[in-house]
Amino acid sequence: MYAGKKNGLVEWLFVAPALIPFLIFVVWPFVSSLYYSMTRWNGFTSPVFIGFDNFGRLFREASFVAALSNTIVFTLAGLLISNVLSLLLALALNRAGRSKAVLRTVFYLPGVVSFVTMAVVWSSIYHYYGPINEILIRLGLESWTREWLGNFDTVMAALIIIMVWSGVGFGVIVFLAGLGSIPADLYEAADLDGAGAFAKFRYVTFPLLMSSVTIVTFLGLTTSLKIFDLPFLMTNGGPGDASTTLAMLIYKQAFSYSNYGYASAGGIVLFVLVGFISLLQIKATRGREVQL
Amino acid sequence: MGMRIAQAAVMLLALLFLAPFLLFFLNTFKDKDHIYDTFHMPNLLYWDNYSRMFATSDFIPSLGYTILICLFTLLIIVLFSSMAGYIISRTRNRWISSLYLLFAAGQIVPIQTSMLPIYKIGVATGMINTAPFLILVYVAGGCAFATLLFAAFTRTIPEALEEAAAIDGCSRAGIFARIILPLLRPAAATIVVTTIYWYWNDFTGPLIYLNSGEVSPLMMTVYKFMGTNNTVDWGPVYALCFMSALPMIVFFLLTQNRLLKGLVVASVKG
Repeated sequence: MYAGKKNGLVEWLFVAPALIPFLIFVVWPFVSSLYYSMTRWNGFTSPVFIGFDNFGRLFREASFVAALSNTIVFTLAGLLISNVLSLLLALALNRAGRSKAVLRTVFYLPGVVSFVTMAVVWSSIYHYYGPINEILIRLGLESWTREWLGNFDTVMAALIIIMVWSGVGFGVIVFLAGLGSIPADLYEAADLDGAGAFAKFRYVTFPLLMSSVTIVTFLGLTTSLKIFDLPFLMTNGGPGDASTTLAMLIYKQAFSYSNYGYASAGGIVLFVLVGFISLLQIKATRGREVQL
Repeated sequence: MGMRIAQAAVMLLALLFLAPFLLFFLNTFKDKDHIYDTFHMPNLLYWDNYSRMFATSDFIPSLGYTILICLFTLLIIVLFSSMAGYIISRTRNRWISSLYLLFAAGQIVPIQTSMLPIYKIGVATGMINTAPFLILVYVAGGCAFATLLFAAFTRTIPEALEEAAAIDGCSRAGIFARIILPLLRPAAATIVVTTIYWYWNDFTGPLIYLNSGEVSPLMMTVYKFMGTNNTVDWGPVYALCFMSALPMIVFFLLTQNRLLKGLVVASVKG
Protein backbone atom coordinates (compact mmCIF):
# COMPACT_ATOMS: atom_id res chain seq x y z
CA MET A 1 0.00 0.00 0.00
CA TYR A 2 2.78 2.42 0.93
CA ALA A 3 6.00 2.49 -1.04
CA GLY A 4 8.74 4.71 -2.37
CA LYS A 5 11.46 6.90 -0.92
CA LYS A 6 9.08 9.50 0.45
CA ASN A 7 7.22 6.86 2.41
CA GLY A 8 10.51 5.53 3.80
CA LEU A 9 11.31 9.00 5.12
CA VAL A 10 7.83 9.38 6.61
CA GLU A 11 8.25 6.07 8.40
CA TRP A 12 11.59 7.10 9.89
CA LEU A 13 10.07 10.40 11.01
CA PHE A 14 7.34 8.47 12.81
CA VAL A 15 9.76 6.25 14.73
CA ALA A 16 12.36 8.97 15.38
CA PRO A 17 10.77 10.55 18.50
CA ALA A 18 10.83 7.19 20.32
CA LEU A 19 14.07 5.99 18.76
CA ILE A 20 16.31 9.02 19.38
CA PRO A 21 15.92 9.19 23.19
CA PHE A 22 16.32 5.41 23.23
CA LEU A 23 19.60 5.63 21.31
CA ILE A 24 20.91 8.44 23.53
CA PHE A 25 19.79 7.17 26.94
CA VAL A 26 19.76 3.38 26.50
CA VAL A 27 21.98 2.23 23.62
CA TRP A 28 24.81 4.77 23.89
CA PRO A 29 25.16 4.50 27.69
CA PHE A 30 25.28 0.74 27.37
CA VAL A 31 27.96 0.78 24.67
CA SER A 32 30.07 3.35 26.48
CA SER A 33 29.72 1.39 29.73
CA LEU A 34 31.33 -1.54 27.93
CA TYR A 35 34.32 0.71 27.25
CA TYR A 36 34.41 2.34 30.70
CA SER A 37 34.35 -1.11 32.31
CA MET A 38 37.83 -1.61 30.85
CA THR A 39 39.24 1.64 32.18
CA ARG A 40 40.49 3.18 35.36
CA TRP A 41 38.38 6.30 35.69
CA ASN A 42 37.37 8.60 38.52
CA GLY A 43 35.00 10.73 36.49
CA PHE A 44 37.23 13.82 36.43
CA THR A 45 40.46 12.86 34.65
CA SER A 46 40.16 10.97 31.38
CA PRO A 47 39.71 7.18 31.54
CA VAL A 48 42.82 4.98 31.26
CA PHE A 49 42.41 1.71 29.36
CA ILE A 50 43.36 -1.27 31.54
CA GLY A 51 41.72 -4.21 29.74
CA PHE A 52 39.94 -6.72 31.92
CA ASP A 53 41.65 -5.73 35.19
CA ASN A 54 38.43 -4.40 36.74
CA PHE A 55 36.70 -7.74 36.20
CA GLY A 56 39.60 -9.65 37.75
CA ARG A 57 39.54 -7.29 40.71
CA LEU A 58 35.77 -7.68 41.10
CA PHE A 59 35.90 -11.43 41.49
CA ARG A 60 38.83 -11.27 43.89
CA GLU A 61 37.11 -8.84 46.20
CA ALA A 62 35.16 -10.32 49.10
CA SER A 63 32.52 -7.57 49.09
CA PHE A 64 31.70 -8.24 45.44
CA VAL A 65 31.45 -11.97 45.99
CA ALA A 66 29.20 -11.32 48.99
CA ALA A 67 27.00 -8.97 46.95
CA LEU A 68 26.81 -11.48 44.12
CA SER A 69 25.79 -14.32 46.41
CA ASN A 70 23.25 -12.10 48.24
CA THR A 71 21.74 -11.14 44.90
CA ILE A 72 21.49 -14.78 43.88
CA VAL A 73 19.89 -15.69 47.21
CA PHE A 74 17.36 -12.85 46.78
CA THR A 75 16.60 -14.01 43.28
CA LEU A 76 16.25 -17.73 43.96
CA ALA A 77 14.28 -17.33 47.18
CA GLY A 78 12.05 -14.65 45.68
CA LEU A 79 11.46 -16.76 42.60
CA LEU A 80 10.61 -19.93 44.45
CA ILE A 81 8.46 -18.43 47.18
CA SER A 82 6.62 -15.96 44.96
CA ASN A 83 5.92 -18.50 42.25
CA VAL A 84 4.65 -21.19 44.59
CA LEU A 85 2.69 -18.83 46.82
CA SER A 86 1.05 -16.97 43.98
CA LEU A 87 0.14 -20.19 42.21
CA LEU A 88 -1.44 -21.62 45.37
CA LEU A 89 -3.31 -18.37 45.99
CA ALA A 90 -4.52 -18.22 42.40
CA LEU A 91 -5.80 -21.80 42.61
CA ALA A 92 -7.64 -20.96 45.83
CA LEU A 93 -8.99 -17.64 44.55
CA ASN A 94 -10.16 -19.23 41.33
CA ARG A 95 -12.73 -21.13 43.38
CA ALA A 96 -13.42 -18.37 45.87
CA GLY A 97 -16.52 -17.12 44.07
CA ARG A 98 -17.68 -13.70 45.15
CA SER A 99 -14.72 -12.91 47.38
CA LYS A 100 -12.31 -13.45 44.45
CA ALA A 101 -12.33 -9.82 43.33
CA VAL A 102 -11.77 -8.44 46.82
CA LEU A 103 -8.98 -10.90 47.61
CA ARG A 104 -7.28 -10.16 44.31
CA THR A 105 -7.28 -6.48 45.21
CA VAL A 106 -5.90 -7.18 48.67
CA PHE A 107 -3.02 -9.29 47.38
CA TYR A 108 -2.13 -6.79 44.69
CA LEU A 109 -2.33 -3.72 46.93
CA PRO A 110 1.27 -3.89 48.27
CA GLY A 111 2.45 -3.69 44.65
CA VAL A 112 1.24 -0.11 44.23
CA VAL A 113 3.21 1.22 47.20
CA SER A 114 6.74 2.53 46.69
CA PHE A 115 9.80 0.87 48.17
CA VAL A 116 10.39 4.06 50.14
CA THR A 117 7.05 3.69 51.91
CA MET A 118 7.58 -0.03 52.32
CA ALA A 119 10.96 0.61 53.87
CA VAL A 120 9.45 2.97 56.45
CA VAL A 121 6.56 0.65 57.31
CA TRP A 122 8.60 -2.53 57.48
CA SER A 123 11.41 -0.91 59.41
CA SER A 124 8.88 -0.22 62.13
CA ILE A 125 7.60 -3.81 61.93
CA TYR A 126 11.10 -5.23 62.30
CA HIS A 127 12.09 -2.66 64.91
CA TYR A 128 13.28 -3.98 68.26
CA TYR A 129 10.23 -2.44 69.91
CA GLY A 130 8.02 -3.33 66.96
CA PRO A 131 5.06 -5.69 66.59
CA ILE A 132 7.00 -8.89 65.81
CA ASN A 133 9.00 -8.81 69.03
CA GLU A 134 5.95 -7.55 70.92
CA ILE A 135 3.90 -10.55 69.77
CA LEU A 136 6.75 -12.94 70.57
CA ILE A 137 6.96 -11.53 74.10
CA ARG A 138 3.22 -11.89 74.60
CA LEU A 139 3.45 -15.50 73.44
CA GLY A 140 6.16 -16.10 76.02
CA LEU A 141 8.89 -16.48 73.40
CA GLU A 142 11.04 -13.66 74.68
CA SER A 143 14.25 -15.50 73.80
CA TRP A 144 13.28 -15.32 70.11
CA THR A 145 13.17 -11.55 70.02
CA ARG A 146 15.96 -9.80 68.19
CA GLU A 147 16.95 -6.87 66.02
CA TRP A 148 15.64 -8.48 62.83
CA LEU A 149 17.42 -6.16 60.41
CA GLY A 150 20.60 -5.88 62.44
CA ASN A 151 21.22 -9.59 62.61
CA PHE A 152 23.36 -11.52 60.11
CA ASP A 153 21.08 -14.55 60.28
CA THR A 154 17.76 -12.81 59.80
CA VAL A 155 18.37 -9.75 57.65
CA MET A 156 18.07 -11.52 54.29
CA ALA A 157 14.93 -13.42 55.29
CA ALA A 158 13.42 -10.18 56.58
CA LEU A 159 14.02 -8.46 53.24
CA ILE A 160 12.84 -11.45 51.20
CA ILE A 161 9.54 -11.42 53.10
CA ILE A 162 8.98 -7.82 52.01
CA MET A 163 9.80 -8.67 48.41
CA VAL A 164 7.34 -11.54 48.45
CA TRP A 165 4.71 -9.34 50.10
CA SER A 166 5.06 -6.75 47.38
CA GLY A 167 5.38 -9.11 44.42
CA VAL A 168 2.95 -11.96 45.02
CA GLY A 169 -0.07 -9.99 43.79
CA PHE A 170 1.33 -9.74 40.29
CA GLY A 171 1.82 -13.50 40.15
CA VAL A 172 -1.71 -14.09 41.41
CA ILE A 173 -3.14 -11.89 38.63
CA VAL A 174 -1.16 -13.62 35.89
CA PHE A 175 -1.95 -17.12 37.18
CA LEU A 176 -5.65 -16.26 37.57
CA ALA A 177 -5.73 -15.10 33.95
CA GLY A 178 -3.96 -18.30 32.94
CA LEU A 179 -6.42 -20.46 34.86
CA GLY A 180 -9.33 -18.59 33.32
CA SER A 181 -8.10 -19.38 29.82
CA ILE A 182 -8.04 -23.15 30.32
CA PRO A 183 -11.05 -24.64 28.47
CA ALA A 184 -13.50 -26.36 30.82
CA ASP A 185 -13.97 -29.35 28.48
CA LEU A 186 -10.39 -30.44 29.18
CA TYR A 187 -11.40 -31.00 32.80
CA GLU A 188 -14.55 -32.80 31.70
CA ALA A 189 -12.47 -35.08 29.49
CA ALA A 190 -10.13 -35.72 32.44
CA ASP A 191 -13.16 -36.53 34.61
CA LEU A 192 -14.34 -39.08 32.04
CA ASP A 193 -10.90 -40.66 32.12
CA GLY A 194 -11.25 -40.94 35.89
CA ALA A 195 -8.48 -38.46 36.74
CA GLY A 196 -8.21 -37.40 40.38
CA ALA A 197 -7.69 -33.82 41.57
CA PHE A 198 -3.90 -34.13 41.59
CA ALA A 199 -3.77 -35.83 38.20
CA LYS A 200 -5.91 -33.03 36.76
CA PHE A 201 -3.52 -30.45 38.16
CA ARG A 202 -0.47 -32.36 36.97
CA TYR A 203 -1.65 -33.15 33.43
CA VAL A 204 -4.11 -30.35 32.59
CA THR A 205 -3.70 -27.25 34.75
CA PHE A 206 0.05 -27.15 35.16
CA PRO A 207 1.11 -27.71 31.52
CA LEU A 208 -1.42 -25.12 30.36
CA LEU A 209 -0.12 -22.64 32.92
CA MET A 210 3.44 -22.80 31.66
CA SER A 211 3.15 -19.52 29.77
CA SER A 212 2.00 -17.84 32.98
CA VAL A 213 4.95 -19.42 34.78
CA THR A 214 7.21 -17.93 32.10
CA ILE A 215 5.85 -14.45 32.67
CA VAL A 216 5.96 -14.56 36.46
CA THR A 217 9.42 -16.13 36.52
CA PHE A 218 10.89 -13.76 33.95
CA LEU A 219 9.64 -10.62 35.63
CA GLY A 220 10.50 -11.94 39.09
CA LEU A 221 14.03 -12.80 38.00
CA THR A 222 14.82 -9.48 36.40
CA THR A 223 13.34 -7.45 39.24
CA SER A 224 15.12 -9.29 42.00
CA LEU A 225 18.46 -9.41 40.19
CA LYS A 226 18.32 -5.62 39.99
CA ILE A 227 17.08 -5.09 43.56
CA PHE A 228 18.42 -1.87 44.99
CA ASP A 229 15.90 0.36 46.81
CA LEU A 230 14.84 -1.99 49.55
CA PRO A 231 18.25 -2.93 51.03
CA PHE A 232 19.58 0.57 50.30
CA LEU A 233 16.81 2.21 52.31
CA MET A 234 16.38 -0.36 55.07
CA THR A 235 19.82 -1.67 55.92
CA ASN A 236 22.24 0.16 53.64
CA GLY A 237 23.59 -3.30 52.89
CA GLY A 238 24.34 -4.13 56.49
CA PRO A 239 25.09 -5.51 58.91
CA GLY A 240 28.54 -5.74 57.29
CA ASP A 241 27.89 -6.90 53.74
CA ALA A 242 25.08 -9.21 54.80
CA SER A 243 22.39 -7.57 52.65
CA THR A 244 24.44 -5.72 50.04
CA THR A 245 23.23 -6.48 46.53
CA LEU A 246 25.09 -6.12 43.24
CA ALA A 247 23.08 -3.06 42.24
CA MET A 248 23.90 -1.42 45.58
CA LEU A 249 27.59 -2.23 45.38
CA ILE A 250 27.74 -0.67 41.91
CA TYR A 251 25.93 2.44 43.12
CA LYS A 252 28.29 2.86 46.06
CA GLN A 253 31.44 2.26 44.03
CA ALA A 254 30.28 4.94 41.61
CA PHE A 255 28.79 7.64 43.79
CA SER A 256 30.50 7.13 47.15
CA TYR A 257 34.00 6.16 46.01
CA SER A 258 34.13 7.59 42.44
CA ASN A 259 35.49 4.26 41.13
CA TYR A 260 33.68 4.79 37.83
CA GLY A 261 35.56 2.20 35.77
CA TYR A 262 35.21 -0.41 38.48
CA ALA A 263 31.50 0.40 38.93
CA SER A 264 30.98 0.12 35.16
CA ALA A 265 32.53 -3.35 35.23
CA GLY A 266 30.08 -4.27 37.98
CA GLY A 267 27.28 -2.89 35.80
CA ILE A 268 28.34 -5.11 32.92
CA VAL A 269 28.43 -8.18 35.19
CA LEU A 270 24.90 -7.33 36.35
CA PHE A 271 23.78 -6.91 32.73
CA VAL A 272 25.33 -10.23 31.68
CA LEU A 273 23.64 -11.94 34.60
CA VAL A 274 20.22 -10.44 33.81
CA GLY A 275 20.62 -11.06 30.08
CA PHE A 276 21.92 -14.61 30.38
CA ILE A 277 19.29 -15.73 32.88
CA SER A 278 16.55 -14.08 30.83
CA LEU A 279 17.63 -15.94 27.68
CA LEU A 280 18.01 -19.22 29.51
CA GLN A 281 14.68 -18.83 31.16
CA ILE A 282 12.80 -17.94 27.97
CA LYS A 283 14.32 -20.95 26.22
CA ALA A 284 13.59 -23.36 29.05
CA THR A 285 9.96 -22.42 29.59
CA ARG A 286 9.01 -21.73 25.98
CA GLY A 287 9.93 -25.31 25.14
CA ARG A 288 7.52 -26.71 27.69
CA GLU A 289 4.56 -24.51 26.90
CA VAL A 290 1.61 -26.33 25.42
CA GLN A 291 0.25 -24.64 22.33
CA LEU A 292 -3.48 -24.89 21.97
CA MET B 1 -13.30 -30.05 54.48
CA GLY B 2 -9.99 -29.47 52.69
CA MET B 3 -11.67 -26.64 50.82
CA ARG B 4 -12.66 -24.97 54.10
CA ILE B 5 -9.12 -25.13 55.44
CA ALA B 6 -7.76 -23.68 52.21
CA GLN B 7 -10.26 -20.83 52.35
CA ALA B 8 -9.42 -20.10 55.96
CA ALA B 9 -5.72 -20.08 55.09
CA VAL B 10 -6.29 -17.64 52.23
CA MET B 11 -8.33 -15.35 54.48
CA LEU B 12 -5.64 -15.43 57.14
CA LEU B 13 -2.99 -14.64 54.57
CA ALA B 14 -5.10 -11.78 53.22
CA LEU B 15 -5.29 -10.31 56.73
CA LEU B 16 -1.53 -10.68 57.10
CA PHE B 17 -1.07 -8.87 53.78
CA LEU B 18 -3.25 -6.02 55.00
CA ALA B 19 -1.73 -5.83 58.48
CA PRO B 20 1.22 -3.61 57.47
CA PHE B 21 -1.22 -1.13 55.91
CA LEU B 22 -3.33 -1.05 59.04
CA LEU B 23 -0.34 -0.62 61.30
CA PHE B 24 1.00 2.08 59.01
CA PHE B 25 -2.31 3.96 58.97
CA LEU B 26 -2.70 3.76 62.75
CA ASN B 27 0.90 4.85 63.30
CA THR B 28 0.18 8.16 61.61
CA PHE B 29 -2.12 9.00 64.54
CA LYS B 30 0.17 7.91 67.36
CA ASP B 31 1.88 10.47 69.53
CA LYS B 32 5.57 10.26 70.32
CA ASP B 33 5.13 8.19 73.47
CA HIS B 34 3.07 5.49 71.76
CA ILE B 35 4.74 5.19 68.36
CA TYR B 36 6.31 1.85 69.35
CA ASP B 37 3.25 0.68 71.24
CA THR B 38 1.92 -1.74 68.65
CA PHE B 39 -1.40 -2.56 70.28
CA HIS B 40 -2.15 0.98 71.39
CA MET B 41 -5.34 2.16 69.71
CA PRO B 42 -4.57 5.78 68.82
CA ASN B 43 -7.05 8.61 68.91
CA LEU B 44 -8.02 9.08 65.25
CA LEU B 45 -8.66 12.75 65.94
CA TYR B 46 -5.01 13.29 66.85
CA TRP B 47 -3.81 15.15 63.76
CA ASP B 48 -0.61 16.51 65.22
CA ASN B 49 1.67 14.32 63.04
CA TYR B 50 -0.08 15.54 59.92
CA SER B 51 0.02 19.20 60.85
CA ARG B 52 3.69 18.97 61.81
CA MET B 53 4.41 17.11 58.58
CA PHE B 54 2.70 19.81 56.51
CA ALA B 55 4.60 22.49 58.42
CA THR B 56 8.07 20.96 58.20
CA SER B 57 8.16 19.01 54.90
CA ASP B 58 7.81 20.02 51.27
CA PHE B 59 4.82 17.76 50.78
CA ILE B 60 2.63 20.10 48.70
CA PRO B 61 5.29 21.34 46.24
CA SER B 62 6.69 17.81 45.91
CA LEU B 63 3.24 16.44 45.21
CA GLY B 64 2.75 18.97 42.43
CA TYR B 65 6.21 18.22 41.09
CA THR B 66 5.63 14.47 41.01
CA ILE B 67 2.23 14.93 39.34
CA LEU B 68 3.85 17.09 36.65
CA ILE B 69 6.69 14.60 36.11
CA CYS B 70 4.24 11.70 35.75
CA LEU B 71 1.95 13.71 33.50
CA PHE B 72 4.65 14.84 31.06
CA THR B 73 6.39 11.46 31.07
CA LEU B 74 3.20 9.55 30.27
CA LEU B 75 1.93 12.05 27.71
CA ILE B 76 5.20 12.00 25.78
CA ILE B 77 5.50 8.22 26.02
CA VAL B 78 1.96 7.68 24.73
CA LEU B 79 2.42 10.09 21.83
CA PHE B 80 5.90 8.96 20.73
CA SER B 81 5.39 5.25 21.15
CA SER B 82 1.97 5.11 19.51
CA MET B 83 3.59 6.66 16.43
CA ALA B 84 6.53 4.27 16.53
CA GLY B 85 4.42 1.22 17.37
CA TYR B 86 2.03 1.96 14.50
CA ILE B 87 4.83 2.17 11.95
CA ILE B 88 6.76 -0.82 13.32
CA SER B 89 3.74 -3.08 13.01
CA ARG B 90 2.91 -1.90 9.47
CA THR B 91 6.25 -1.29 7.78
CA ARG B 92 7.85 -3.39 5.06
CA ASN B 93 11.24 -1.84 5.85
CA ARG B 94 13.36 -4.50 7.52
CA TRP B 95 15.43 -1.94 9.44
CA ILE B 96 12.37 -0.39 11.00
CA SER B 97 10.68 -3.67 11.84
CA SER B 98 13.85 -4.91 13.52
CA LEU B 99 13.58 -1.98 15.94
CA TYR B 100 11.05 -4.18 17.72
CA LEU B 101 13.89 -6.48 18.80
CA LEU B 102 16.13 -3.56 19.71
CA PHE B 103 13.45 -2.07 21.96
CA ALA B 104 12.79 -5.48 23.50
CA ALA B 105 16.50 -6.01 24.20
CA GLY B 106 16.72 -2.55 25.78
CA GLN B 107 14.29 -3.70 28.44
CA ILE B 108 16.88 -5.85 30.16
CA VAL B 109 19.62 -3.22 30.61
CA PRO B 110 19.67 -2.46 34.35
CA ILE B 111 19.81 1.19 35.42
CA GLN B 112 23.09 0.46 37.24
CA THR B 113 24.68 -0.51 33.93
CA SER B 114 23.84 2.72 32.16
CA MET B 115 23.64 5.25 35.00
CA LEU B 116 27.18 6.64 34.74
CA PRO B 117 27.12 7.54 31.05
CA ILE B 118 23.61 8.98 31.51
CA TYR B 119 24.83 10.97 34.50
CA LYS B 120 27.72 12.23 32.36
CA ILE B 121 25.31 13.35 29.62
CA GLY B 122 23.37 15.21 32.30
CA VAL B 123 26.47 16.97 33.59
CA ALA B 124 27.75 17.78 30.08
CA THR B 125 24.44 19.34 29.03
CA GLY B 126 23.90 21.04 32.38
CA MET B 127 20.55 19.25 32.64
CA ILE B 128 21.42 17.08 35.65
CA ASN B 129 19.22 17.74 38.67
CA THR B 130 16.40 19.12 36.56
CA ALA B 131 13.00 17.55 36.03
CA PRO B 132 13.24 17.61 32.19
CA PHE B 133 16.34 15.41 32.40
CA LEU B 134 14.60 12.85 34.59
CA ILE B 135 11.61 12.92 32.23
CA LEU B 136 13.91 12.33 29.24
CA VAL B 137 15.47 9.31 30.95
CA TYR B 138 12.00 7.98 31.77
CA VAL B 139 10.77 8.60 28.22
CA ALA B 140 13.74 6.78 26.67
CA GLY B 141 13.10 3.61 28.66
CA GLY B 142 9.32 3.91 28.76
CA CYS B 143 8.94 4.45 25.02
CA ALA B 144 10.71 1.19 24.28
CA PHE B 145 8.26 -0.73 26.42
CA ALA B 146 5.18 1.16 25.26
CA THR B 147 6.18 0.87 21.59
CA LEU B 148 6.12 -2.92 21.90
CA LEU B 149 2.61 -2.72 23.30
CA PHE B 150 1.34 -0.25 20.73
CA ALA B 151 2.80 -2.37 17.93
CA ALA B 152 0.98 -5.41 19.27
CA PHE B 153 -2.28 -3.45 19.56
CA THR B 154 -1.94 -1.95 16.08
CA ARG B 155 -1.75 -5.46 14.61
CA THR B 156 -5.32 -6.04 15.79
CA ILE B 157 -6.58 -3.07 13.73
CA PRO B 158 -7.60 -4.14 10.19
CA GLU B 159 -5.51 -2.52 7.46
CA ALA B 160 -8.57 -2.08 5.27
CA LEU B 161 -9.51 1.03 7.25
CA GLU B 162 -6.24 2.71 6.28
CA GLU B 163 -6.47 1.61 2.64
CA ALA B 164 -9.87 3.24 2.31
CA ALA B 165 -8.56 6.47 3.80
CA ALA B 166 -5.45 6.39 1.61
CA ILE B 167 -7.61 6.04 -1.50
CA ASP B 168 -9.56 9.10 -0.32
CA GLY B 169 -6.24 10.96 -0.36
CA CYS B 170 -5.51 11.01 3.35
CA SER B 171 -1.81 11.40 4.24
CA ARG B 172 0.05 8.96 6.47
CA ALA B 173 0.00 11.47 9.34
CA GLY B 174 -3.70 12.09 8.76
CA ILE B 175 -4.44 8.37 8.79
CA PHE B 176 -2.52 8.00 12.04
CA ALA B 177 -4.19 10.95 13.74
CA ARG B 178 -7.75 10.32 12.53
CA ILE B 179 -7.97 6.53 12.34
CA ILE B 180 -5.24 4.78 14.29
CA LEU B 181 -4.78 7.03 17.32
CA PRO B 182 -8.47 6.96 18.37
CA LEU B 183 -8.44 3.17 18.08
CA LEU B 184 -5.31 2.97 20.22
CA ARG B 185 -6.98 4.78 23.12
CA PRO B 186 -7.55 1.57 25.14
CA ALA B 187 -3.88 0.67 24.67
CA ALA B 188 -2.87 4.13 25.85
CA ALA B 189 -5.07 3.79 28.91
CA THR B 190 -3.51 0.41 29.64
CA ILE B 191 -0.04 1.92 29.48
CA VAL B 192 -1.01 4.78 31.79
CA VAL B 193 -2.67 2.61 34.43
CA THR B 194 0.06 -0.02 34.43
CA THR B 195 3.14 2.19 34.35
CA ILE B 196 2.23 5.32 36.32
CA TYR B 197 3.46 3.50 39.45
CA TRP B 198 6.98 3.22 38.02
CA TYR B 199 7.28 6.98 37.80
CA TRP B 200 5.35 7.96 40.89
CA ASN B 201 7.15 5.45 43.11
CA ASP B 202 10.59 5.62 41.52
CA PHE B 203 13.36 6.29 43.97
CA THR B 204 16.53 5.23 42.15
CA GLY B 205 16.01 7.65 39.24
CA PRO B 206 15.67 10.80 41.38
CA LEU B 207 18.46 9.56 43.68
CA ILE B 208 20.86 9.54 40.74
CA TYR B 209 19.57 12.26 38.43
CA LEU B 210 17.47 14.65 40.55
CA ASN B 211 19.12 14.66 43.93
CA SER B 212 19.64 18.31 44.70
CA GLY B 213 16.98 20.27 42.87
CA GLU B 214 15.12 23.10 44.58
CA VAL B 215 12.05 20.88 44.76
CA SER B 216 12.25 17.09 44.97
CA PRO B 217 9.91 14.43 43.66
CA LEU B 218 7.80 12.92 46.45
CA MET B 219 9.85 9.80 47.09
CA MET B 220 13.02 11.87 47.36
CA THR B 221 11.24 14.22 49.78
CA VAL B 222 10.22 11.27 51.94
CA TYR B 223 13.79 9.98 51.88
CA LYS B 224 15.23 13.33 52.87
CA PHE B 225 12.55 13.86 55.52
CA MET B 226 13.44 10.44 56.97
CA GLY B 227 17.03 11.58 57.21
CA THR B 228 16.21 14.75 59.13
CA ASN B 229 13.67 13.09 61.46
CA ASN B 230 15.44 9.76 61.87
CA THR B 231 15.05 8.03 65.23
CA VAL B 232 13.78 11.26 66.73
CA ASP B 233 10.29 11.79 65.47
CA TRP B 234 8.66 9.09 63.39
CA GLY B 235 5.06 10.37 63.53
CA PRO B 236 5.39 13.00 60.79
CA VAL B 237 7.43 10.55 58.66
CA TYR B 238 4.55 8.07 58.75
CA ALA B 239 2.12 10.87 57.91
CA LEU B 240 4.25 11.95 54.93
CA CYS B 241 4.63 8.37 53.70
CA PHE B 242 0.93 7.80 53.99
CA MET B 243 0.04 10.98 52.12
CA SER B 244 2.46 10.15 49.30
CA ALA B 245 1.22 6.57 48.98
CA LEU B 246 -2.47 7.52 49.17
CA PRO B 247 -2.86 8.94 45.61
CA MET B 248 -1.59 5.67 44.09
CA ILE B 249 -3.74 3.55 46.40
CA VAL B 250 -6.83 5.54 45.38
CA PHE B 251 -5.79 5.47 41.71
CA PHE B 252 -5.34 1.70 41.92
CA LEU B 253 -8.74 1.15 43.52
CA LEU B 254 -10.40 3.29 40.83
CA THR B 255 -8.62 1.75 37.83
CA GLN B 256 -7.96 -1.77 39.05
CA ASN B 257 -10.15 -3.54 36.51
CA ARG B 258 -8.27 -2.04 33.60
CA LEU B 259 -4.97 -2.49 35.40
CA LEU B 260 -5.50 -6.16 36.16
CA LYS B 261 -6.52 -6.86 32.56
CA GLY B 262 -3.73 -4.66 31.22
CA LEU B 263 -1.03 -6.31 33.32
CA VAL B 264 -1.62 -9.64 31.68
CA VAL B 265 -1.74 -8.16 28.18
CA ALA B 266 1.31 -6.01 28.88
CA SER B 267 3.40 -8.84 30.22
CA VAL B 268 2.48 -11.19 27.38
CA LYS B 269 3.18 -8.68 24.65
CA GLY B 270 5.97 -6.78 26.36
